[in-house]
Amino acid sequence: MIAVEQFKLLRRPRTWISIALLCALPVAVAVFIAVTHLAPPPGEGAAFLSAVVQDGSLYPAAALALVLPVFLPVAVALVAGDSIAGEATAGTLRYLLIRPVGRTRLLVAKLVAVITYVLLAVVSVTLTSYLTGVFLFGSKPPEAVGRPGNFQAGIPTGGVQAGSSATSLSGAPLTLVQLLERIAGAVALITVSMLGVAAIALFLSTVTDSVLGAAFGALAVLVGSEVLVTLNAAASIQPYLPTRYWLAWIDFFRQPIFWRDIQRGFGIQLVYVAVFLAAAWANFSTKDVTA
Amino acid sequence: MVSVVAGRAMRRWALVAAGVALLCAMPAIDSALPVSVPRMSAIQLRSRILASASLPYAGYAESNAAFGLPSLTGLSDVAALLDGVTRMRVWQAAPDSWRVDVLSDVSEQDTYQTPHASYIWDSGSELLTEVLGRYPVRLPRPADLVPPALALRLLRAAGPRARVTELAPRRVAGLSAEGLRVIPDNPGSTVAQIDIWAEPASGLPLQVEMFGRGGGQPAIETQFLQVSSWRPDNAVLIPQRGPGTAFTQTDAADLSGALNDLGPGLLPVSLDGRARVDAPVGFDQVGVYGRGLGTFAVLQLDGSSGLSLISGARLDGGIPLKGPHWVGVVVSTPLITAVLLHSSTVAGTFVLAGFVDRQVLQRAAEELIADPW
Repeated sequence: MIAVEQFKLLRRPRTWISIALLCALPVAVAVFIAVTHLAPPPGEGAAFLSAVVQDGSLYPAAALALVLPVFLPVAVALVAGDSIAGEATAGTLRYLLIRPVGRTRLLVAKLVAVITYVLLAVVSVTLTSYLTGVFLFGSKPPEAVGRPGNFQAGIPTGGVQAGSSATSLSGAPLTLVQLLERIAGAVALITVSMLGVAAIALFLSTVTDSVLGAAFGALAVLVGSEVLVTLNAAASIQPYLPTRYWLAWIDFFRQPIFWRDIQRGFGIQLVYVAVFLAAAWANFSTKDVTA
Repeated sequence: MVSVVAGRAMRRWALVAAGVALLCAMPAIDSALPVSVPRMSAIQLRSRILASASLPYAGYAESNAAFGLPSLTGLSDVAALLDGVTRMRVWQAAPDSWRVDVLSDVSEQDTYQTPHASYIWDSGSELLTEVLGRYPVRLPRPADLVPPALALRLLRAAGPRARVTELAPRRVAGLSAEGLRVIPDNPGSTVAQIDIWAEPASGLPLQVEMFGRGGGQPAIETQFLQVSSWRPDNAVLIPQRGPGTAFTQTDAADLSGALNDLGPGLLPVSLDGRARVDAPVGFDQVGVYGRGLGTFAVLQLDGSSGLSLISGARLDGGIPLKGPHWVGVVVSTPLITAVLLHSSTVAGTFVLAGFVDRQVLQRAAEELIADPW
């Protein structure tokens, strides 16, 4: 059952088209910056965008910052919302369940397919943006980055340390291995964050037969959460909102890594996944399927 | 009669609801856990806090201030610090060796203090600045809002004559904390009380709340959300530079350049019955009067800059003042009061500001423009 759902996901053109579109935005931004040499000044524009001109290997971080707020959640909500509601709309849900397949197993298979999509999307954006960044902006070899000529006696910070590949948000240098480890950590947190979105959309997909209804319902939850996250009066509930720790992946690029919000980000998303999957199971396993 | 399917659905939903209820109750259960602290008097706790200055620690703290300061040109950083939430990562090895990072979602501004110099890293401009020398006088900075720094500063300012009482213990950053209320002994001070919770064994302050007179909510509160008492590694306390970053140096004494418009600094030895205290070297133009939490500062501005400050403060909601030969404005916030007075008989504009109420500053201002003193 899981293999069947994976196969269905992978052979759908819309899966690949949506992933291609997600990858296209960072590529387009990189091309514009490379052609015009008009990168946003430090401190302005999307996170890390000003730094990629120095080192293209940092571009995956900038690309994730570009797609995370809107495009990635929309794509994930549409795919997850389509899981059950799409079958009902197409009139195939009844036939799916005629097979000797339990509803819980079907739900699990759909969930695994959504997880696969999320991983594919995030990893594709990361890889294409890494290649784009290195191709357009270059990746400086560590020994070429250090500028020992700038060192000044008695000042620990007078020069850039040799062996560094990129700069953390705290100003300290990162080696290429550290950079790749941190990008992997950011990918993991963003993937889990998108699973939270997917779980909400999957639950709504068991409630309604409308794909758009399920997807927009999940997006409405996210927009509502974003509004409350910025409201001081809602401070007491902010730690429990689904989008509260979405930007915590940036904490991987501080030195030392700021684990507090990262841990909370993983934790709150796992709670949302558990709660909404349980609700989806409770609803779908006893639902009167008519379509 | 409930059908078999409906009964099964109800059981499954009940299971989900029970799980959600348990998850929702966990924060309440956590905060309701009993707090166990050894009993000690308020005096003992104050002594222990004052002795904790050199403790090493590392943690994460948040401050929330509501000073209600008007927008002042060139002081936006201070206004943001004293009106809003500041998120800080903190490492301290010793009083002269520490680091405080102010975090925002996609950037950070770090201050390093080493025994020899201090450094400021701004991720927005990708610039590391070395500050040479010590600031004789400086504006408030985020490191001042870290709970131990603020608690120590306030306790020292309140002095031994302040009244201290015990507060109920509470849990702060997962630690049991003993509470202390300090009521300043400074007539005319805007500070009504200061509540401090500290780890009883070490005396490390974990939470501070400062209340103005007539305010039910603290004008500023700062607390650790995560803290541990370990000595941070030197690699954390010394700034390092990555590729693409810039480096510059500045002199702490340059601050006096910002006071170019100051008048000659001929100020009386006392105002409103409060004696003038010695100003830092190089800042003789600034008069500081009173003691502890009832202190206010006076300076005299030359030229027309004072008049533009007065009109700006009026536009920001300041209360206008007018006399036969002078105009002025009063700006009152829960903790800080400022009076600006421009007299046609005395050249320039007097600026008076501090932790004292409006009446004190108005009396002091009238003494200043009453010639001679």
